Amino acid sequence: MRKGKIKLFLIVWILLLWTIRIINVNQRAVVESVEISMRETFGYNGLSITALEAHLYSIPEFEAAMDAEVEAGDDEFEIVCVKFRIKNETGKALGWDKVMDEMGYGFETLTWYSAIDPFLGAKINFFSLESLESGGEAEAWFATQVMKECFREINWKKLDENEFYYVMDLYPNPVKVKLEIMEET
Amino acid sequence: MMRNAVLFECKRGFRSRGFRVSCLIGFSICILDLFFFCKVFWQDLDSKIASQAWIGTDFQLAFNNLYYVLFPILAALPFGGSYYQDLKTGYVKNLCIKISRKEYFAAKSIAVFLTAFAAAAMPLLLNLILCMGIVPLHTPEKLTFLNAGILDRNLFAEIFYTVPALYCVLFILLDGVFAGILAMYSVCIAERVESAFSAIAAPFAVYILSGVALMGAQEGNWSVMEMVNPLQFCTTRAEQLLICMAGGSAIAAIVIILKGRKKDFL
Repeated sequence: MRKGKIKLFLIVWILLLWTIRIINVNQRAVVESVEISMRETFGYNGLSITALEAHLYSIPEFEAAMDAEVEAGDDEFEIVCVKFRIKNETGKALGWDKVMDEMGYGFETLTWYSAIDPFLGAKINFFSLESLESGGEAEAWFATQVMKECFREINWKKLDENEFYYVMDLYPNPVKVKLEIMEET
Repeated sequence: MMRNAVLFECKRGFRSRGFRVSCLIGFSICILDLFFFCKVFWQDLDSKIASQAWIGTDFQLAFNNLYYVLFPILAALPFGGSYYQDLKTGYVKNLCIKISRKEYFAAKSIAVFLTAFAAAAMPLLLNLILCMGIVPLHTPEKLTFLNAGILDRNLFAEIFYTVPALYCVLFILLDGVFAGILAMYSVCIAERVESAFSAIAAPFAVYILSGVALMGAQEGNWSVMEMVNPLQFCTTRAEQLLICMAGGSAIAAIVIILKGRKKDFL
């Protein structure tokens, strides 16, 4: 009887200590995410960036709007894209590859995510200069495919009801642009 | 009388050597997983989160696969072979003098289910509790690509990205239920096998063979082996999960009920 009580006491004591540890671990490491809205200008790695417009296009809509061809094959997908105004404030000229590299990770909703598709980007972005000059400004599109196979049928039908985010940075704190998807007429 | 029979069988089950061995294997796998996770990622453990470390959603080490391959053995080992042993040793005759066959089978099924549930769920739960004390319970950042690739089409996707601990608990319960159902197949098959080992191994054979044969892809999946794994390599629809759970338990229950009616021990 006495042995049983000691065992119980030890178990309760260990559980209590571990619960305190769990609380400490979770309080210590709070990561605040920074949310930026459309048309809000923010600085990032020497670039001044503003999200201008965002769309969720079907393939024909995308081809018509961007005057670009998309190879769909058997896949069923829509395309989410966002246009940014990028101003170079680094004090030196930046090559376009460098600019594109600096422009974040990709798109996400609550239950879906995808990195930027550079091949789509190459089809819809045309720059007249070799690089983005210091103090210069440019507008660039970033896009990716939203594959139907990632979604349940019921959620695919109401895809436009999702809240889309463009993820600029993840470390140390996530920086995300909340996209206002424009209604297509 | 029924209550006493259930209590008696549960006591036998939870005090059996099989239950201890099963727990030992399960706990060892789960603790080794956490140990190696900490060892491998010691330098940047601060940037890790619980859903990366928990064995169920840890895709970086092999222990998840090991646990879910051994899953039916862990489930059946505690008490799955007990009906076969009761038959062989004649112990069942002693019991059926005091209680009816129906009561015996009901008590046996409940005990087999509960011991299997506990043997499968406890290691996962312990691993989760230990993980939560080492790394924080943050929601996963999807674009790091360092988490289980749960997408909208997967089960409980919203929960995974809002309350990850609840996702883990849901899968622990789900695994426990499937473990219980699988272990009951050891009772179903006991008269047809030659040893207690075969009775315990039968759910494993069913699990692996059906797992490989029925494995689905994006459009759906009927493989229990894929359903129980929280990494969800295959897409399981909610209705498929419910059908498998209801169908699996109904088949086991029908076989055991028929045994309770027809089988004569005395």
